Order: sequence, then structure tokens, then C-alpha cells
Amino acid sequence: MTFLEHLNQSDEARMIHDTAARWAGGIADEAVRASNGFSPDRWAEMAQMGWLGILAGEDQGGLGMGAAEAATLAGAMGGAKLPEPFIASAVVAAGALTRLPGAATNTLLADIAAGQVIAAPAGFGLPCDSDAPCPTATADGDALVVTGEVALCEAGPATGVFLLRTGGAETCLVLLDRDAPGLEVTPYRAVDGRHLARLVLTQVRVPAGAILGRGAGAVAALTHAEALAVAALCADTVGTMDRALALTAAYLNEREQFGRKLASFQALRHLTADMMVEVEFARSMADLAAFGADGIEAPGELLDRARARVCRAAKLVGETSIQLHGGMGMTDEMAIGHYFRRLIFLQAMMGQEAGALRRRAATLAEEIELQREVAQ
Amino acid sequence: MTDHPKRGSQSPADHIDLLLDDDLRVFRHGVRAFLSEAVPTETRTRVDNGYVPAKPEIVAFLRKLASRGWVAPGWPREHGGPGWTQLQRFVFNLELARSGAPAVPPFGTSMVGPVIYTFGTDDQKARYLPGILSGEEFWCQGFSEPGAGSDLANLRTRAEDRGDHYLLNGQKIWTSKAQYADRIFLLARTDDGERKQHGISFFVLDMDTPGIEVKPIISIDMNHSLNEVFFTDVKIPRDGLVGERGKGWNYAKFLLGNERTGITNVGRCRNQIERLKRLARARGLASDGAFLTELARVEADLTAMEITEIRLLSAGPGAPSALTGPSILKLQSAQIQQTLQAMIVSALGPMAAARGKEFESAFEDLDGLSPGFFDGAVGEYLFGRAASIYGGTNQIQRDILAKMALDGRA
Ligand SMILES: Cc1cc2nc3c(=O)[nH]c(=O)nc-3n(C[C@H](O)[C@H](O)[C@H](O)COP(=O)(O)OP(=O)(O)OC[C@H]3O[C@@H](n4cnc5c(N)ncnc54)[C@H](O)[C@@H]3O)c2cc1C
Repeated sequence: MTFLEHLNQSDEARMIHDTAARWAGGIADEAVRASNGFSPDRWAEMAQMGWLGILAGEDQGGLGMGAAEAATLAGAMGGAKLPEPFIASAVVAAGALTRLPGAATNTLLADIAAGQVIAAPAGFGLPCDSDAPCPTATADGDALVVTGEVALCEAGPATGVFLLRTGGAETCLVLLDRDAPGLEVTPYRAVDGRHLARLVLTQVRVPAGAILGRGAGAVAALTHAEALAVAALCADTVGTMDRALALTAAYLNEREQFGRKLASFQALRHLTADMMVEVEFARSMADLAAFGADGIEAPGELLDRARARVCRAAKLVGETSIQLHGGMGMTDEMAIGHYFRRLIFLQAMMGQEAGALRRRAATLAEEIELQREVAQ
Repeated sequence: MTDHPKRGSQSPADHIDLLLDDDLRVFRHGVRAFLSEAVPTETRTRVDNGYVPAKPEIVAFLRKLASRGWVAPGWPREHGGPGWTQLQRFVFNLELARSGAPAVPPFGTSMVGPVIYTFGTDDQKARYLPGILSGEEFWCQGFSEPGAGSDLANLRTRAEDRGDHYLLNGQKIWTSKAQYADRIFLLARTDDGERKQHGISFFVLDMDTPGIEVKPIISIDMNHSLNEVFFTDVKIPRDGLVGERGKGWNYAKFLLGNERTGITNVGRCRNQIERLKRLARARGLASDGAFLTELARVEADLTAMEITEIRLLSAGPGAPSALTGPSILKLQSAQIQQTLQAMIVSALGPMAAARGKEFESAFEDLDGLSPGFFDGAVGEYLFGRAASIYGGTNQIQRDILAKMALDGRA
């Protein structure tokens, strides 16, 4: 598929988009607040609509679609600021599993698609930082013994399994049950209220059957999952920003000071226009990321660029939308603050703008060095 | 824990010292020595991490300040202040913030106090000033209303003259710390003037007066510092009126001018730079050229703000810059504070996603920093958005400056 074809969504993709937008648009702000980080009912609805199996093959109980459709769903969920771990379980973990063929993964993908199992990626994807250290595995017969820590994992009380990246002699992807002996799960919360956890592993035994990928196979699955993570996070961010911008525009058109609508003050009009520019640039980068995740051999650098640009947009749009709300923007009662906090969460998951640019800064330095050698 | 700031008294000479004469340098070191004793380590750490201390911690510290007569550094000697020069006050505020002391609540010392000793009666001075100076009585500011934010003169709260008292009805919003204030100063309409600014009067009132109801507002950092305050048939005794009836707008302008210069927070910004250095070491940013350049830039910005503050302060109240200065400082200080907060959050990397009590107890430390460093930094970034909103928003400050620059008038 070319990028232009990618932009002209298939009918199927458009249908998913419309359905998701309608569904998410019907979820009231109060309902999201009341769910305290996770709603089993919403999760069941997502499963019913097939969304939790968006990436799984049809024989694995899924819809067999790609990054673009997954990103579309993530965007809709951003717009409704849903706290459920859709990206974690249905996109990143499931995405890695689709590249790890085997009977165990087929069953797991089907369970994830059905909403019966929630899987959390640990040590990759969320946050996008697979260069970070991860728990170390040592061989014990055909099993592995894993020790180490994952400081931040998007997992809550409903999370059943962890898909863990391990280092050591070779990179592996292993499946851990939540109650695996030696695994300590300490829950905490994200800035936007969703569930996170710290994992501490002390001599956790992983039987051969739970080692889902090793070496090159595991690395390829991880790379794919990371690309999906970037695509979904970018789309979620765009959905979140779209809504933040809409709420801000509505507020400016409603609130009056000095006997005029705030929307009539040029300073505020210009700030709103700046936000709009950011959202459109971010939308382009989100499209690029989704295309890259499915259609480009080694999209790494483009994905870095996408998440960096989307992070910058998120910061500006989040901060400006609060500013334009004045004191009201500072309250937990107004929805705008929740969108702002979600944008903070998403930037952190994307590694922050500066983090996303670091790799490129290093290769740029090399390129410049190389040019000097050529010139000499 | 490794993220304790070093005690201030050992800090080496800095560029501020270069600007001070010997007397001021000695003064500065005296203040520093006192503060390093007066601020408990636990308070210092919490404040350094970006948390606002609880009232008892603040009271305890104010008591120590009061023992030296330093609660209200800006007040002249005749009203119980230390009678310091502008530069002494600058140095004192700098050291105060750098020491990790709880911020001195501005409502009594910088806001209502000067209004009372400038425009109040002898009775009012005798009744209200001692409680402020001793740090025992807390005040809150009842200016903003739901319909009167940037357009403050649009306020609707009414105080009707009933002979021996004024009858107050209406609502205030965004009233910081009203939940533990003993008294409130407020603006209310007593008469209908030709212009909205006319007919507004300035009152002081005890918070336990019947008919006052305080409702909390939880802010985006999930804390409670803001409130709504409702007045239903509240009787303000006649001597609750400050200055002349109908002249409240002038007193409010006088007060807001003080508020805007009082909030540059240079000392806190200096601490934030130290925090960024610690964070950079912990997170391996010491060789990140972009990060270092940004840090160097914000240091230069901060120096420019410090020098501007000193320059404007020394120009005195009659100088032309007295009109533009407060807005310039307010804009720049909001900008610098917010830049520093955002830089810290960015440097936290992915862990900027985490917040709350459970997070704080989930880790002993992260890269050698306490989880409180992380949680506090995100909270401060969130609440820090208010720096460009309260005390006149950035847009309003720019309007003030543009009027001076383009229309040649204030
Ligand atoms: C944390 C915090 C603490 C506070 N504490 C107190 C307190 O203790 N006591 C108290 O009385 N008040 C307090 N305030 C209130 C504060 O002074 C007001 O929030 C502020 O004046 C802005 O008013 P508003 O919130 O109604 O916003 P609005 O005035 O509604 O402003 C909304 C947006 O419109 C913009 N805007 C408004 N007018 C114009 C214009 N003419 N041109 C261009 N842009 C414009 C503003 O800049 C802002 O971006 C506090 C506020 C905050 C956030």
C-alpha cells in the first residue's frame, strides 16, 4: 500500500472509524470519571465490537486489521479520554503476539480479543523505550529464570498476564501470569488516573511453554509492537487534542468578560489558531506513524520524528487550552483538565519530545562528522 | 534519601553577591544562617519537591520569623516591619525561597496589610496588623467572582448600607486558602456608579461571621487550595469598611500592583535549577547538549529577571517603569517558572506519567531520587499553569503593556 492509498481509508476502515467515533462520542464525562480507571462494562463492549481483536487474525478470533485501524480506535478513545488499557492489551501486547506464531499465542490472542484476558506489555512499547534496561533471564534447563524490575507497566487489577521483554544471553518475550511465584506487582496511578504497576521479579521461573519468542524472532515482534505503540499513542494524542481544542473553542464562545465573548479577543483567536496548526501537524504525523507501522520495512526514524512532533503539539495544545479557560481550566471539575492530564500521560509514554529526538540527534552528529571527512 | 538540597549557608558566592555592597552581603549571610536553622529538614524537602506545606508547618515557621520581626519584610518600621530597603527585601525573599521555607502567605503581608496601614483607621491598624505580623492570623482574598475574573470590575457581590452594618450578599470564587483563613478582605458593590469601577468598596471581615459558607474546589493537581465563598445576609460591622466608601477599586489597584511584584519567585526558580541539575545527574542528561543549552538559557533568563527586578525596585515608585514594571515582571516570572517546571517534567522521562500516594510508596527511590521528587514535580507543573492566570492573566498583562507602548497611557 502506498501512503496515498493509506490516507484514502478502505470502506471497512471508515466504518470502524465512524462506529468508534459514535460510540466514544456517546460516553458521558461523568461515566468516565465514575469508572475510576477501568470499566468492565466498557471493556466488554469493546470486545463485543471486535475492537480488542483488531489486530488478531480471523482464525484467532480477531478482525485481522492493521495499524491504521488500531490507531483509529485509539484516537476515538483519546477523544473520550477512556482510561482502559486498549493500547496496552489490544494493540501493543496483541501486536507483538501476532508476530510470534504458536499455539500458545493463538489461544492468548483469542482470549484478549474476547476480553477475557487483559495483557500488559512490560519492558517495551509503553513507554516507547525498548533501549531501557529490562529484567534479565538465565537458562535453567529449557526454562528461564528471570530477575529484575519494570518500573512502569500499564496494568491494573483486571490485568491477567504480562508479556515481558527479558535480556541476558538473548532477548526473549515471555508470558507471565499475574500470580507467578516471585512476581511482585505494586499498583499505583497515572497522572490521568489510569492504573499502572511496578513489577519486581525475583527468580521467576518461566517454563519453556511460556517463552513465546527468542532472539531475532522476539526482536522482530518487539520492533513491530513498538511501531504499533507509537502509531496508537500518536492517534490517541490527536483524538485527545481534537477534543481539547473543541472544548476550548466552545468555552471561548460561551464565556463573556468585558461585555464580550472571549472568542472576540484577537489574542485568544490567535492562540486558538496556533493550537489548530499543531493539531493538524500532529494528525499528519499520526497518519505517517500508522502507515510506517504497517507499510515500511524499518520505520524507526520516522516513528521517532512522529512521536517527537506529536509530543510538542500535545504540550502546546494542553497548556494553551488550560490558559484559555482561565481559572476554570485549573479545576478538576472541568473536563479540560482531564484532557490536559491525559496529554501529559501520553507525552510520557512517547518518551517526551526530547527523548524522542535523542536518537536522531546522535545520528545527525555522525552524518555531520561524515560530511567533514568527505569534504577534506 | 539523596535528593535533599544542601544547606543554604554553605553555598558559594554567586552573581548576586557581586551586585551587593559589603553591608548587604553581611545581611544576606545573616538571613541565610538564620533560615538554615529555622527550616526543618522535612519541610525543606517537601517544599523543594514542590509541595505546599500544611498549615501547622507554615504557622510554626512564621512563628520563628516573627521572633525576628521578619514576617512582613516590606512593611515600614512605624507599622511593625523591619523598615528594610528594597534591595534588602529582594535579598531576603531570595534567601527565603532558597532555604526551602514554606512560602509566607501573601494575603496578609503583601496584600491587605499595606492597604490597611495606608488607608485604614487607627482602630483597624491596631486590630488587624499585629495578627499579621505575628503570623497567627491567616487572611484570604475575596476579589474574583464567577462573572468577574479578568474583568474584575464586573463584580456583583453587594454590600447594602443598613445603618449600623452593611448587609453582604453574593459569591466569590478562586479564594485561595479560604478553608483555613481567619479573615477575608473583599470587594463588594455599595453603590451603582457611572462606570463599573465606581461604587466598589473594600471590606475586611471575620470568616466565622454567620452567613459565610466555604466550598472547596479541587484543582487539576488534585489538591485543595481553591474555594468558593458564599455570602448570605452577612452582617459586616461598619468598621469593616476600609478607606472611603466607593473607592475600593483604587485600593484594589494599589494592592494588585504589590501582588504582581511580589510573585517573581526568583528564589524558587534558583532552586528549580539546582533540582534540574540533580535530576540531570540521576537521569544521565549531563552530556545532552540540547538539555544543557536550554538550562543555560533559562539561567540567563532568570538573571535578566533578577536584574530587572533590582533595577525597577531601585527606580522607586515615581519612575515611568513603576507602571510597566509589575506587568513585565509578572509575565517573565510566569514564563520562567513554567519553563522550569516543564523542563523538569520532560527530564523525568516516562516516569512523568506517575502520580499519587500509591506511587510514592511503591518505590524507595528512582535513579537515586525519591518518588516524591517525581510526584511533586508533576503536581507543581500542573498547578504551575496558574502562574499565567492569577494576579492578572498573561493576556491582561500584555494588554496593560500594549496600552503604554501604543496608546501612551496606563
Ligand atoms: C490558582 C489560582 C489562585 C487564585 N487565587 C485567587 C484569590 O485568592 N482571590 C481572588 O480573588 N482570585 C484568585 N484567583 C483568580 C484569578 O485572579 C482569576 O482566575 C483571573 O483574574 C482570571 O479570571 P478568570 O479565571 O475568570 O478567567 P477569564 O477572565 O475568564 O479568562 C479566560 C481567558 O480569557 C483571557 N482574557 C480575558 N479577557 C481578555 C481580554 N480582554 N483580552 C484577551 N484575553 C482575555 C484570559 O487571559 C484567559 O486566558 C486565583 C486564580 C487561580 C488560578
